[in-house]
Amino acid sequence: MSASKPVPFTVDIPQGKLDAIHAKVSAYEWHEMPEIDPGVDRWAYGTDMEYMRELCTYWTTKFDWRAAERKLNAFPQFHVEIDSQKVHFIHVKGSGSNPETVLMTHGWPGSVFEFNAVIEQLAHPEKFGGNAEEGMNLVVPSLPGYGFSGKPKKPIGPKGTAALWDKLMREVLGYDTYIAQGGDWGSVVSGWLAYEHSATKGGGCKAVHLNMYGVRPAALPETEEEKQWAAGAAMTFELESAYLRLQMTKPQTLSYGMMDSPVGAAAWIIEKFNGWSDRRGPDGKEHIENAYTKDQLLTNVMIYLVTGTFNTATWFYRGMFEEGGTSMAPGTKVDVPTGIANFPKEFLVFPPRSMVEKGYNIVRWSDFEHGGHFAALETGDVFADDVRAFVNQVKG
Amino acid sequence: MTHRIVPADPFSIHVPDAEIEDLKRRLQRTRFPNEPLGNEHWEYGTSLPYMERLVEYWRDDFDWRAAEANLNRFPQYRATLTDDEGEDHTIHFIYERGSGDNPVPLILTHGWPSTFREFLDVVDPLAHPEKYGKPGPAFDVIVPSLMGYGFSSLPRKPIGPGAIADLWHRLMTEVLGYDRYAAEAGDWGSFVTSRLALQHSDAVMGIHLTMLPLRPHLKHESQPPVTEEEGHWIAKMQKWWRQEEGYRSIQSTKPMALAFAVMDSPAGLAGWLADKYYRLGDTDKTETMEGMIARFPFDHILTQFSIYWFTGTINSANTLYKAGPAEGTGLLKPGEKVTVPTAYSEYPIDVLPDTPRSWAERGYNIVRWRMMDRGGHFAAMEEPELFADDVRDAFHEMGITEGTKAG
Repeated sequence: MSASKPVPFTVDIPQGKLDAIHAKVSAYEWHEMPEIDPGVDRWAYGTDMEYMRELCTYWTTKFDWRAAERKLNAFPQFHVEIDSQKVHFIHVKGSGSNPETVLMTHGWPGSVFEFNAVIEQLAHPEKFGGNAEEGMNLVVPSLPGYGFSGKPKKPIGPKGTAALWDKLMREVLGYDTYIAQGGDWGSVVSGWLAYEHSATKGGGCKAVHLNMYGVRPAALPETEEEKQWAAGAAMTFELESAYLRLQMTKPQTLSYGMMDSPVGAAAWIIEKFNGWSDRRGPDGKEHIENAYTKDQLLTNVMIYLVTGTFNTATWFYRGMFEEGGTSMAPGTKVDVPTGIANFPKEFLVFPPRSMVEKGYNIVRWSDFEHGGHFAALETGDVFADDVRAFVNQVKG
Repeated sequence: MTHRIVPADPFSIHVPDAEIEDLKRRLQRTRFPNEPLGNEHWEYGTSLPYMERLVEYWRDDFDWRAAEANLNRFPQYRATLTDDEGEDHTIHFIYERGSGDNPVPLILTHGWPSTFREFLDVVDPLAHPEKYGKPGPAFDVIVPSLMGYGFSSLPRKPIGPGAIADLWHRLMTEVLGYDRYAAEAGDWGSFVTSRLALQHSDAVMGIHLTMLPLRPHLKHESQPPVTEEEGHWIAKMQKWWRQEEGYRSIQSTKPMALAFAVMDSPAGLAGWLADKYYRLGDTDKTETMEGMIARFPFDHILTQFSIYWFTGTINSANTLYKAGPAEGTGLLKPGEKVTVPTAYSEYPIDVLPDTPRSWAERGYNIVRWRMMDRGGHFAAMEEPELFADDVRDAFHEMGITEGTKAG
């Protein structure tokens, strides 16, 4: 392996780039969308134009990228080159005498910003009324081709990323062991870390905490409950998987519009934040802003825009496809301790525990009442508590 | 005209200068993506070097006024029909009266990602074969823009091929005054045309298709078991389709997730559509750049893309993929079959095996069957002479050589 020495990094986007984005968003010419009957979900055809108009007005008049930058820069960040892939990561040393180390990986269409609000409380629980001895070292990288990481020359997938991450943790940062955490692609990367880079296999991953069902055992559903889950998952896949099918086969065909149109890229991304989150409000109505503020949504979108990474981020799907998918070899499983955080509005619904156990050594399983796919961003405190509890459970 | 009751207004295309300037400004500031290594054969989708050349040509060399004059060289009209729910639908169409006393009325319907431009180069050869030294029949040529496409109106809510077929029948009868007529199509047009044949079988004399869209209901007792040849063909098609159907998948579920980018970025619109011309056209796949440009000259393909751009219809056009399945028009009901005489001409798509005739005969009354040796999914654009000759010959063979009314 070859790895450079980490170089400190701060997000500081040139004003000209921000102005160019602002100009395109301001000039957006609104158009028609299919008429939606009263009482019907306004997002039935994809992104609701009324909401996009409201969001874009906020974007051009109130959103403050420099404030977002300050949030992103609140933690030490670095660049390092591993096997010719430039990797951006946040690295925070935790409180306490012997903190555990946790590697948290985001997914698509997310970013390191998903973890922004949980880093401090996980690293320094004493600042939040907790015990300093429960502090953790945190490493939060941007996936290859995402955000402030470099753009690969061709698609790289979650399995390849897991190999990079294990080198980042052990060889660059000197952590012999660590606990992996992730949702979305992060759950797949973390799953591969636990499966292929566990301590018993010469790697450093000693436990894994997942909030999405990513890497899967090569086992068929057996019980009635498992079969029901499989049927439901197949139905969801039919209705919800178009972005994935496209990004897995022809990311380049999509890229011309998405790279050229900031509003277009925002709509493609926001549709997922709407669809995969817990939008239930106290009034019983559903709205995306029951889950996120406009500032949160736009900060995440802007990370794609200012870095010009919409295209390379979608390559991850093709990379997974070229790696051969997300299935474990028949008869094998993850042997490290595994924690499952099951949020109710996760669109890729977890199977029954009996099914997950075919592939994982589950030591903790938490069912939550609120939250969805982007759990760290949406329900940060609950997410952080579960990660902390899991870490306490497995550290020994 | 026997019973014309709806007027049609003459129409010609004129895009304001300001819109042409706006297009060029947008092209000027296009922000291009990068491209993965290994995309020489468009394996990851639309090629970046191709797009760079296309955008440069569109910005600097493409003459929309010349393209517009070319589109306006045949008489065009717009007619408005009110449906049962009181919604008005304005249909744009070319209407070129054919030579002779009693030409065959023929409605040709385009698909996605195409426009009425697809048939531009076959209008004259079909209407006036004698000018080209060709045998008849001659046709009254009607080329509409699909609803939600080009210069036709946008439905308030997406409508599918069955509803469009009813509008086409009313166009042919109530607006143009024909009792009976013939129809030709590929792609989405073939869904509309098949539905036209099913829903108005008394009026449709015969159809000529370059795509067979309706799937038979295999479980019905009238259907014999799938043959070995059919099984092999189905498996190959499914394998190919898994690589190709990403666009369909998004357009049929969440077209509004895609809409904002392709409505805002002309390069985005072109990138989204060019992939289909490359894959489905009969282009040279060894010299990919030159092969693509030779098969679809920039002036031709950019006329198509410019129509989508200037009319702002890429979103409503994409949404047909959601409306079609919602209407349930793709699958034949148990026992249902197109009884109208059907000629099928298959233009080759490089990697795909020939359709078994037995498969076609499950759903259609096939009376003429041709495997063409060149020309792809956009045959009327790619090989206009071959296409026009084949259409004339097909209707001649089917005995459909004159209209049913005195001229």
